[in-house]
Amino acid sequence: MIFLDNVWKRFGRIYAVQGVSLEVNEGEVFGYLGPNGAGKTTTIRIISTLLKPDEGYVEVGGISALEMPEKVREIIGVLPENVNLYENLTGEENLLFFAKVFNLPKSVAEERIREYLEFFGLENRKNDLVGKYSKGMKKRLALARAMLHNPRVLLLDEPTSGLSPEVALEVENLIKRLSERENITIFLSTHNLDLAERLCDRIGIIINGKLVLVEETRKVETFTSEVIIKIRQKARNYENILEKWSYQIVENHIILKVVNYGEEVPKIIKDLVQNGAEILEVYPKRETLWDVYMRVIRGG
Amino acid sequence: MVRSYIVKGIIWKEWRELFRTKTIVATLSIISIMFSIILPLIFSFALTLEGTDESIPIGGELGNFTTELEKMLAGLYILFLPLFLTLIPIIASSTLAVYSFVGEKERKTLESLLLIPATDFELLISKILSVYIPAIALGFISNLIYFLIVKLYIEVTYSITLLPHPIYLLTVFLLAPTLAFLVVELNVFISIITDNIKTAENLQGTILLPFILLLIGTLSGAVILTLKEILAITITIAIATIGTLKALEKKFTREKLIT
Repeated sequence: MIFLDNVWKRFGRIYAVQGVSLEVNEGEVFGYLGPNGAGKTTTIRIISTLLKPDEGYVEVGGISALEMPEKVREIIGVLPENVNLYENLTGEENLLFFAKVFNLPKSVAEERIREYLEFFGLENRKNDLVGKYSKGMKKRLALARAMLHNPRVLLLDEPTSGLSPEVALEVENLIKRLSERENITIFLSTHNLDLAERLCDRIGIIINGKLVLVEETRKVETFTSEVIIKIRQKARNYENILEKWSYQIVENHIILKVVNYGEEVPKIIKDLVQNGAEILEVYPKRETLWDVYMRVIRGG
Repeated sequence: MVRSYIVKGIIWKEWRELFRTKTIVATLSIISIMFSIILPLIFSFALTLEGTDESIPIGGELGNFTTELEKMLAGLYILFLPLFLTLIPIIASSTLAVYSFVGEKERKTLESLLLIPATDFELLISKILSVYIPAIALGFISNLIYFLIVKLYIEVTYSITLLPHPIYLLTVFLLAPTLAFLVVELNVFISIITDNIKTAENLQGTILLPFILLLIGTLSGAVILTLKEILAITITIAIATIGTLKALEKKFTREKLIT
């Protein structure tokens, strides 16, 4: 649904995007992660036809973003990081404007606007100027605007930033619902790794304009070759038993590197118990998205 | 091909915003009242005090007016004062057009506008028309009010029936609208190339300057346009509007607007 092939973008001497190639499938939620200034927003702007790449090819829904940008804009909905709403118009008028320029029939537009205003809890404030809205309300309205024309692709730039936890959760649930029910493709740029972990089918990490990792989210959270043994006593007391292995001790936790989990772990536990250790928990160490992200951006 | 729903949609949005901005509406109303009501009243009052034998610029083509009084009145009210009214759509369109893109840039709404499925030409023509239509409407309404006041005043005071003169009609319905279109285009151009409203407003002055000079020339009696001259100027301006529109489309780069 979204296809980028060797995309480059430079601003002056700075390369914002360097040879990014990426394919996002229909109905997929793709998380685009990276530190500030990594090139996330530039990539979204290239996909949404606001910027033209210096090199490379971009396609959305089978349409070339370089040759038919207005056709691409018809099938995408964009939530920019700064919501960019018309503050001198009411909430309802903001949506109505977009309904008009996307050529929604009047009855459909009215119905959909009513539905979204209700869904986002803005029904009672629909006749207020957006300038009087709170940050969270603006974000909700901007999301409603992005979805108003039933886009096939939704590009979300930091959708939950600046929102209170309960509104962020609402937005998160909505994104989840959209991806499940509407089969909409979602390209989500975020700093929020927990959100990405919960929502995204796949994630990509961009650093200094280079896409350094693309992986299925469930595969990112892999088991490592380490096992954690939690005991009641101080773990330092049992260092003589552990000396054959590579290990770390954090208070009453022993983090042990093992090669053969099935053979080595029962043996260690047996030795520990025989030496008076009371085992509380034994579990394999998992590498979370957070661990992977930090490892990647630190150049691991 | 220009899609009418996009043009209508953008105009709808622009007008909603415009008519909600009370300062702009008030400014335009004051300009209109000044030129269409106050100005002829001041001249008429001065005329009453000074008598009718003062030297007032009179055009050469005054049609059926025969007596010196008729010629003088027609010259004043049909040829001279309407030049001020020509300024109404020009000032109005200039005031509004200069904010078209740079205003959106400053209000941080430009990205939203650029994300709608409009072509560059559709965006430009929508912005131009959204300014041009109210400016021209204001010009026509002001002229109508002006003409009715002047007609009534002359009929009551001098018992002379004043009919619209071809020069007046040509100025109001052809020269002023064509000129206003060019002014809108030039202001939109400024709005595209500038980064902030202050710079845009400063540049805007350079567009209005030739028209102000023309007005000063007319006031001093140095420039009085004939029917043919008005027609020739109108045609020249019309050609310039086509060229400017093409130049605008060429200069309009989305990327430069948002970076």
